[in-house]
Amino acid sequence: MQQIINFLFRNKNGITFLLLFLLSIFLIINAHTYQKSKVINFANALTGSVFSVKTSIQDYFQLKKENEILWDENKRIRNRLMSIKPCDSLTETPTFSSDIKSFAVSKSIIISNNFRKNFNYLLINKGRNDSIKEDMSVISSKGIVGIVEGTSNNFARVISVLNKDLSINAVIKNTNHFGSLKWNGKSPYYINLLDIPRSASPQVGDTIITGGNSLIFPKGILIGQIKSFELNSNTGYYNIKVALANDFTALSKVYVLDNTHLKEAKNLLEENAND
Amino acid sequence: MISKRINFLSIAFWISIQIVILNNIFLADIATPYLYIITIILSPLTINRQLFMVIAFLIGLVIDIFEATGGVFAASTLLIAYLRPVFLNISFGLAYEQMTIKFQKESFFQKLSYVSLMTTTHHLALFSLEAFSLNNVLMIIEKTLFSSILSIFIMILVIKLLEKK
Repeated sequence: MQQIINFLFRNKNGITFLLLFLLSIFLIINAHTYQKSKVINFANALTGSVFSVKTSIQDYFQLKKENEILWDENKRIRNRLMSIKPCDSLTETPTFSSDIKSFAVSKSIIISNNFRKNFNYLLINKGRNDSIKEDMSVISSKGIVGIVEGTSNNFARVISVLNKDLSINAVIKNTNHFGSLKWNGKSPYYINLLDIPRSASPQVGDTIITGGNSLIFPKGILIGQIKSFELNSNTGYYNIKVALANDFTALSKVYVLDNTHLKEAKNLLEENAND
Repeated sequence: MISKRINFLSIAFWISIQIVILNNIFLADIATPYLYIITIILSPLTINRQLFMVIAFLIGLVIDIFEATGGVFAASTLLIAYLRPVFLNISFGLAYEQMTIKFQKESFFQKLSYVSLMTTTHHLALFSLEAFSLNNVLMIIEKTLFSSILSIFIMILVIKLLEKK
């Protein structure tokens, strides 16, 4: 016993280091598992308030640019409005509807933006109090942004598409060729589209949109355009480099989409699994 | 310069600078300065080592919480806090062993080597743990190299500024 105590006492520096180091390794591994611990949710409230102040100052310097983006989006929506027959749909609550799914839209501001790490997260200024829940999709006026992963009362953590842990169902526009979207951790302007079969014959400049196979994203959200592609002759699948439509280095205003039928669809899936 | 006691005000100052300003810098699409470790580099020499490591761990953890990185900063800050005596010994040799370091009076190259050893070790640990795999060693080394150069350069300037007073 005496010897053990002596040993511990002699190596107290090494043991302190080892314990703390193991603790941080545990935290790192914990951060990579899908469902986050409560520690992170607390962090949302703490970090949120700091980043809110920072953003409120920063936003002031980007008013002109933001105006430009909103104006542009207005123009596009107005164009689309002109091309459809007049109806009183504007008076109803705004929803995207595609097939049987419908999505409720709410707006939010990004207060912390990461894009240079391998595993990037965003923080937005709406949370549980604004009925933001996990698994809602986040898009901007230009296209896909990410998925809500954790919420606190007033803030929500969004896992960015620029995160190596995330993979999203995507499709080449006007075809039925599905693939999965995965980031390689390098440039925030490009993302890879994998598992597109040989028969797809993609072209440079083709538009990539979200596929309808996921319960999270509505079908047809813009992702980007094909920049280059190569065929892996071993597997017979294309590896496509996609230029993102969104500039992730300058994101600010986003929309959060709530799949109002998500619960129903999930229940159905679980019922099937139980049978 | 190297203070007698741990200055929590300066720690809070450097952490906020890191979170609010420096983490958003991305020079030439590759280099980010991590200057908060200057609090570890310039902390007192005679401090209790266990306490020092706990403080370093907590400093890293605060930045981790703001950066959503789990424990990456905590681990790398802890690592340089643990290895600090080794680096002091390499850079200052006898002066460190006899506890007679006058940081202001030591030669520029001794200071540079000490700051460089601390910074490079920190950055290497940081980027390796952040990558969470060894598939892309080249990118880890690239990030470490460029970020280290930037961090060391600014830190030497800051140390020069502090010395003038």
